[in-house]
Amino acid sequence: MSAYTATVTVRPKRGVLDPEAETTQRALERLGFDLADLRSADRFEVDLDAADAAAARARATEMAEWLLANPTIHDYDVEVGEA
Amino acid sequence: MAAHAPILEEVREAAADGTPVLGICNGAQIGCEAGLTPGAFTTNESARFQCEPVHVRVENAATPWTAAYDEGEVIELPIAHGEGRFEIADDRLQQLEETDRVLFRYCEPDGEVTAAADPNGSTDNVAGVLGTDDHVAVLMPHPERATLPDLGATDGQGVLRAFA
Repeated sequence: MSAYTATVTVRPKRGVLDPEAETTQRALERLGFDLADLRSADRFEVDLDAADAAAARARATEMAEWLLANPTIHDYDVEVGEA
Repeated sequence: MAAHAPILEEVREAAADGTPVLGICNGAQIGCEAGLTPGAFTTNESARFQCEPVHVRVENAATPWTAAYDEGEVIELPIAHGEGRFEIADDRLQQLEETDRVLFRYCEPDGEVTAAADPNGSTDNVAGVLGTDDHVAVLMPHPERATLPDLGATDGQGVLRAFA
């Protein structure tokens, strides 16, 4: 077993409204910042022990499917690195 | 998160056994996350908490929740939520419509469904939906806060009659 950190990034699906991002963008522009676009995402860093990176990825993917992301409105990706 | 709480297993079993299950507001979010009802409720278009009276139109009166109303009837209910925007994939929305699963839609006082009457940016003005069975439903407005004359509104009584 080795120690891994799985990073799960959860973001609104393409086409799903992202009011938090829109509000943030408006606020930045009000402060005088110049930007073309802005998207929001949630990032979870999960430390776990697994036999190999593939096993760590599989478990983190299962976590995303079950709880971290809502498949109706979210896309997610999983990156695995050695902790 | 609450959709995976242990009690949801019991709710699921009760629903399967025919017990009426109604998810209101946060309960509606949980019902959708738990897969009892289709779609999802997420951040309001305004990205703010909203607390105000709204009008909804009864889209399907042939359910325990809406038997006290006529189809097309407009009732006034309060909303109080920050994450009440109904979202669903286009093909599943079409499926909802075809199988008459939409229970309530946000509307103008005269019943017209307009974008302006949609308080939170919900897809197709959907305020409440049915699960696979008619005795399982969720809605974002609060019928239970519109049941006493002293509170100034009684339009929600009919929804709660489903439990009587």
